[in-house]
Amino acid sequence: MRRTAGFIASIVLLFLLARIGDAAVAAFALPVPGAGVGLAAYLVLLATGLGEGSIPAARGLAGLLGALIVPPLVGVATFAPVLAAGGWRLAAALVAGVVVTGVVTAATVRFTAR
Amino acid sequence: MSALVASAGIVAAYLAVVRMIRWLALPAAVSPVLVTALGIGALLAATGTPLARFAAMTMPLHLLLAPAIVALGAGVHANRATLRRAGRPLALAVTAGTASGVASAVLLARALGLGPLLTAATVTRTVSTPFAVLVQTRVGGPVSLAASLAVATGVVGAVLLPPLLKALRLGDAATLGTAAGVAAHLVGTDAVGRRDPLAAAFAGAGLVGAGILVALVVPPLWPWLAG
Repeated sequence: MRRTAGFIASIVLLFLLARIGDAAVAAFALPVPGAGVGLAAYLVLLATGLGEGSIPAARGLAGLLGALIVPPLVGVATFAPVLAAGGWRLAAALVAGVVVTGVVTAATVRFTAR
Repeated sequence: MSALVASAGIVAAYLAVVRMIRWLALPAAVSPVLVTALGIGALLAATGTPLARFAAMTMPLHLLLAPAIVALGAGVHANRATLRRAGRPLALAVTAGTASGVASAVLLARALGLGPLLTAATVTRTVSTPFAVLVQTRVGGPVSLAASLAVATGVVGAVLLPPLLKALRLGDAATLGTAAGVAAHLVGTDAVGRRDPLAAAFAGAGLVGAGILVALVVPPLWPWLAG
């Protein structure tokens, strides 16, 4: 019972931080999405030692990210005609771009470490 | 009510797919996000459900996305000492990776003759959807097409990068995690994070860093990038 209440309170906290992020973005015309500001605020909160009780719930919610991405991925079908018109050239651009970006990032981590 | 049932059903289906992939010991390239989406897409097609109705039915999941991004902070916090030690290579990699992501997207789109609409939409495809939507809205780009290309890029990266980087001996948590976050944002973060929490922390830092860089740098360069 208490664990359930704690879990709900933690999710409410994460919702509030996201909303505060949205409000800050609107108020100061920040160039980042509200969720990014909310994440920064959450890190500050955790660094002060407050809100550590929310970590298990946060990890649980972050573990569901995959499920949350499913609807936007299904929604890609809305653009099926545009994407199909791009054909193999669009597919080649997506694959080559991801490979270049991933390899450059990984190589930079590796060769600038130490 | 039906929205809650549909959303809970998608979460249950996703968790079942994750378990099935683990149980069958399928390779890392099998993305549960993609498998679940294909299954639901087939279900929608078979029942003749319009995508707009599906979008309305999954609104609860859409509302959870922002708090779930905030929740990535828990993993970053738990690994903060490791991340801080890796500060310099991490910052350099996010910068170099984001620059190569935007540059390769634009150059490939032009070289392959994708046309102005897809070229404009492709500029932001290496960052997660909330960042892509924000930037495209600001510059007056094709917002929803760009969001779709961002999701598609994430799936391609989540499928290709783990086996590719492991084959190149770049598969440790810090290296693979950062690359997955920068090149394949949330989908990549989810893919590497299910196997390794430390990789998820690096990926979370990478995806947010890349998103902020694109949000700062792309709008002033827009006429040049998309023109």
